[in-house]
Amino acid sequence: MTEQTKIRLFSLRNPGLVMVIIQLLIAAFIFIWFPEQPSAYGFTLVSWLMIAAFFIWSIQTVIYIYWIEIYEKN
Amino acid sequence: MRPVESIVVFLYLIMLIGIGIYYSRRALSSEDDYWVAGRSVNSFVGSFAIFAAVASGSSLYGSIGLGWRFGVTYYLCYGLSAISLFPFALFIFAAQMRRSGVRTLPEYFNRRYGKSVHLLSAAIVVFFMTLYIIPQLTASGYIGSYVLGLPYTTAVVLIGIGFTIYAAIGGMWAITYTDFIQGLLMVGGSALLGLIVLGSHGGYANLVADAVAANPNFTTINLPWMSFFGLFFIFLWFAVVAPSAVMRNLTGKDAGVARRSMMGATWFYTIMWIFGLFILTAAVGLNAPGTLERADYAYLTVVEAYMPPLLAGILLAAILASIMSSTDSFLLAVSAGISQDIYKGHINKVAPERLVTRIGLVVMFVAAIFAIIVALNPVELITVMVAWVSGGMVAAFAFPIILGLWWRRANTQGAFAGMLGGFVSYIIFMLTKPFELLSEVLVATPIALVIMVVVTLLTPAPSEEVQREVEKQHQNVISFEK
Repeated sequence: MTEQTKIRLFSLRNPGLVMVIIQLLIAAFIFIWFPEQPSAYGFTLVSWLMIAAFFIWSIQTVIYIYWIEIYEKN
Repeated sequence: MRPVESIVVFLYLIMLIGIGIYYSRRALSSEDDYWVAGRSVNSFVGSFAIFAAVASGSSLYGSIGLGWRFGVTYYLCYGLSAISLFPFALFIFAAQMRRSGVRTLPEYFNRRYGKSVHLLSAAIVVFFMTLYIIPQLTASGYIGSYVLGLPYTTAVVLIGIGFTIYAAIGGMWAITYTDFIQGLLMVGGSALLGLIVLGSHGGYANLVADAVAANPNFTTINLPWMSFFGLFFIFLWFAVVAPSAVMRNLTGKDAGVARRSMMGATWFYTIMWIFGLFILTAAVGLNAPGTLERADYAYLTVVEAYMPPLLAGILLAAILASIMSSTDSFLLAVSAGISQDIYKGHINKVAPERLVTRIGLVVMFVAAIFAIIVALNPVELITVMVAWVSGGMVAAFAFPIILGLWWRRANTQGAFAGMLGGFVSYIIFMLTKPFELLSEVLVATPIALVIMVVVTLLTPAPSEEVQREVEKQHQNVISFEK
């Protein structure tokens, strides 16, 4: 296998790798911080972080689809 | 017995069986059609289908019981993990897995690692998928009992037999197309009930106030951190390790369709969980702690209190549909594990297609009968049972898959040792219970990783051919393939 291939395999130009890193960073942020203090509606702050992550991850899938399709065309 | 609900559910199930019979002719025409719908499903149908396949009785129905027992934060944590599962699989695994052209997870292991890992993985899939059917039948038994007014055990037996016949006659063709309808009903039904609940209370603030009045611990953290993280970790990996999801992903016409289907399914999960939050809050307001015989009845109490019988029938049909779709795909996974991976893969490689299909059907019925017997006496919350089984598959398969796709050096000896180590350690932890609820996987999975890496490094690298194959799949993703 060539050096060029190795670089491509782990390149940050790979949309999947970039997206999964963002996803795992968000999860790490939620679980490392894990704020238990009450917030809106009496829910813990970590509950609201989780709800925010629902939408961030859903939006990430849309970005990924467009990104990978443009990438493949190029 | 609730007559209106019963009629609606009955008509719905008859419709599904009709679709199954219609597609069964196509299903039996070729082996490939039977297993993966001929790879000709578009992304609209695919989104609902993959969503319905993965969103089981646990997601739609069991999540409410889980939240009622352990509080809203645990419910949201389950949502967090459920919503993460498709993106995680999509980003790091779906394209390569599809490109490898395999139909089942053990088939992937066969291609990547060879016979020994293939056989071990097939045995583990059969073991866990058979167990996986149990919580699904439990949920269907609760609903069947509620609708028909039958004893729980009778409902489990009747519904279990019905599901198996349905799966047996249509294979993946029937399942994929009925999953489309079921996915629609699941998302629509949850939204409808959530909106009715919200409207009845004049907004979410009132709904929460009623819930907290009934149970002051509803919004607090009621389990240790490890239980939260364990739950998240299990379902994060679910779409990667669950054979049913893998098979669904393969039904797409091309990689683009498979990706868009997973994107759509992620949004459906998000929508369902948000409306589910309203349903959960209503369930807590209706039922103070200690008032329900089983926590998993929580969902049914909301349906009964807020919905007119006709709509209740449709919603219960949606829940049964979700359970049915998942149970079918688990039955297919068990069936494929024995008939395809073990029998055709290693015992009789020249077996005719019809014989392999027939063996699959027999296996399916045996697995279903076992699951029905165990489901007669459910031991835990539906979601906890699902998480236990999923955790076992994560411990055994997560790193053999991921390292197989992303590490050229990963070899047969390492994968076999890692898979076996993850499986055995998980079973030991489940039997001895040294950790908090659902956190066994957090120890068993790293054990599998360490064993796999160490054994791999101590044994020879795989052949150049295998390494080139790994490399090629990534080149395709990055450069030209679609």
